[in-house]
Amino acid sequence: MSDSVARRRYSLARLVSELQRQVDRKDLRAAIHLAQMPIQSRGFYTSQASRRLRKDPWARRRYTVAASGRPRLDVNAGLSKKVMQAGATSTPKPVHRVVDPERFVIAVLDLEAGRLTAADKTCLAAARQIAGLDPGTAVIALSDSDAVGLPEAGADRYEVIPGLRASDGRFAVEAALCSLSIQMTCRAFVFSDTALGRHTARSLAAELGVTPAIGAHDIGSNYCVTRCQSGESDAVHEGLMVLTAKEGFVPPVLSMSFEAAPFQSGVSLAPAESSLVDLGPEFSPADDVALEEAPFVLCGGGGVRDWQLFNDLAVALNATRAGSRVVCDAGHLPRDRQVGASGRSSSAKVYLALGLSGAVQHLQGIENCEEVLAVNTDAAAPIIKRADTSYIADADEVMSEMLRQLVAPE
Amino acid sequence: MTKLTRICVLLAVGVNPANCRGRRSSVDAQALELALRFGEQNDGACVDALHVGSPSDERSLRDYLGMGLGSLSILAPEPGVEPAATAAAHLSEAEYDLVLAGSAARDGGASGVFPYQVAKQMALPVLPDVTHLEESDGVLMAKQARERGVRQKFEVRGRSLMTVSPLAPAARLPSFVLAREGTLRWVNSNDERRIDPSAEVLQSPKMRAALPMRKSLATFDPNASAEDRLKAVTALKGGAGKLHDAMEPELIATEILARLKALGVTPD
Repeated sequence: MSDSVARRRYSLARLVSELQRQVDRKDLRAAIHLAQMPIQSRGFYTSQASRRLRKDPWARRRYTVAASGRPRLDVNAGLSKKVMQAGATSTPKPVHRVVDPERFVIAVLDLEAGRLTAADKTCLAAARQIAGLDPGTAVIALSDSDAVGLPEAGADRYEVIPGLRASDGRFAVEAALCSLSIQMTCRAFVFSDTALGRHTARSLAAELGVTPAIGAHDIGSNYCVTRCQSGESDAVHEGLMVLTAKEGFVPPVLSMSFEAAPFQSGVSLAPAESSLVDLGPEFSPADDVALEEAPFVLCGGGGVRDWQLFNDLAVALNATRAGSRVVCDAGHLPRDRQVGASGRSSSAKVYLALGLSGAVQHLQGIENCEEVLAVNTDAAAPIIKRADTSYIADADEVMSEMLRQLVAPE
Repeated sequence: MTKLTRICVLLAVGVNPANCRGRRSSVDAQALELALRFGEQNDGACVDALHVGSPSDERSLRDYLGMGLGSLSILAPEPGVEPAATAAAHLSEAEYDLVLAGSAARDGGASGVFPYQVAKQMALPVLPDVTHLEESDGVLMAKQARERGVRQKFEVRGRSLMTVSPLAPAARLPSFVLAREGTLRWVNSNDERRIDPSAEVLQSPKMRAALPMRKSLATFDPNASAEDRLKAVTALKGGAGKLHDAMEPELIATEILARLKALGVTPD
């Protein structure tokens, strides 16, 4: 057998075809040598020189022969069917079931109009992370109204307790949660990382006499870690945990589903004596709301020429005005209306971008917006990639048309 | 409620995130700002401030004095007793009508729980995230920051503790002269009988040197596919990206307005 054959590297498939070739050539010595070569597993070969197992980069690839006769790599060969059939109906997810749970992880959700917010999803994922797939531990989602999407988000059980999310001390929320921890084995109380969630977490922690973990970034089954003192040290919380999870640091639950069966803990909220009297919400004019808080932002860019029209539209829509750096530099909008890296960041529910190209600095400022609608003449602008729905049109024309339809609806 | 007379602001030392040195905490300064403004608008009001802890960082505390506070009391907690219990004993003794504090003086897990411990000891209701404080016709009104720019109004009919939101008006800058001339008063909680002996020091979490924080790129599920992991990384970025080109402006306007209505952000 020639040295060149010995030095060549073989995967199983290539080894078989090479063997066939040598047998056809009636070179039995070479064929026997080949047949004795150790093949540990598919996709690997043993280096003849060092006898070490090496990965064969060619092993898993499939070739097709193009019309020209040259081999073409089949890029879809290794991918699952799901990826190849984009938009195909998804198969039902496997359901994790919990029967007679002994330990509990309580997730208290904020909800917005019966829907889970991003913070709620993070909260449930954190609770899931603590409970794991332990058949004896259940994640109970507590909220003050019915919610959709609980099985996908990771809840084993749910319970609706009216008045749970009142933040004015009208109900003894902490006392109720405390009694929950006495009547059953609770491993953790997880809250959404919002102002309200943090409030309840702190006040429950004070009630239970534990230290809360606000904004935990590393959560395991029996510990969680928070960052302290401006990043110098970490605090590791153990035992009964009261925590909120930092967004983006908890692995999301994707390919599994959970029971989300109704649960009866028997806890009810008693109206508490409070010296605070709720007089109801106060809505300030949309344009007075700070950009960080505004629910609906109308943002103009360099593509807007008629600023009077822009301002009129903002009033008609009851939207908070904002602009790109270019616009604020030009003086069309005050500096405190600038969105982006050197301005403010928005976490609006709806962000309507008109004539705005979407520079990276600007896109940083709208990272947390829920729905972005964009109108721009340039289909290659970065905002088009970020937007949920984009329209290729002139901003001024669309604005005047919107204003006309708002003022005189047909 | 009768005309409000006495407010106490709980002040802590914050951390400058750039160099980790002590400075006034921005949200505690905002709490003090609310109290000072209230004091300026209402003649009968008296504003006191209390720092609980060892006065290790006098310079940062003087920043608060520089905002126009005449004097700042420093209360060193009794050894072996929960600091919140000491503070509660001191505050009950002085009979304050309102205790104010910033929502969290510094970042980190346990920050912001101290006012709640004090409130529990004093059995006061807590109103979180306050942005405005005013008195009209002898009634104290507070506004609380809610989601999406909404302010919830509250009438305060008795003693309470409020935490101030970072959305409250910005704090005034400290003046050097006022900071130098203000006095730091060391106070002792003499009346030990009023300290609840059952309030032991809380078990604090274990501290360790900071490890790098890693954004989660994995998924929870053990059998997640590569596609799932890709989704997990890109899930929060948004932008499914429906693109409509060559559409009439009239139709675009109708569609946008319909979408805004469906999302419930525009008036009908």
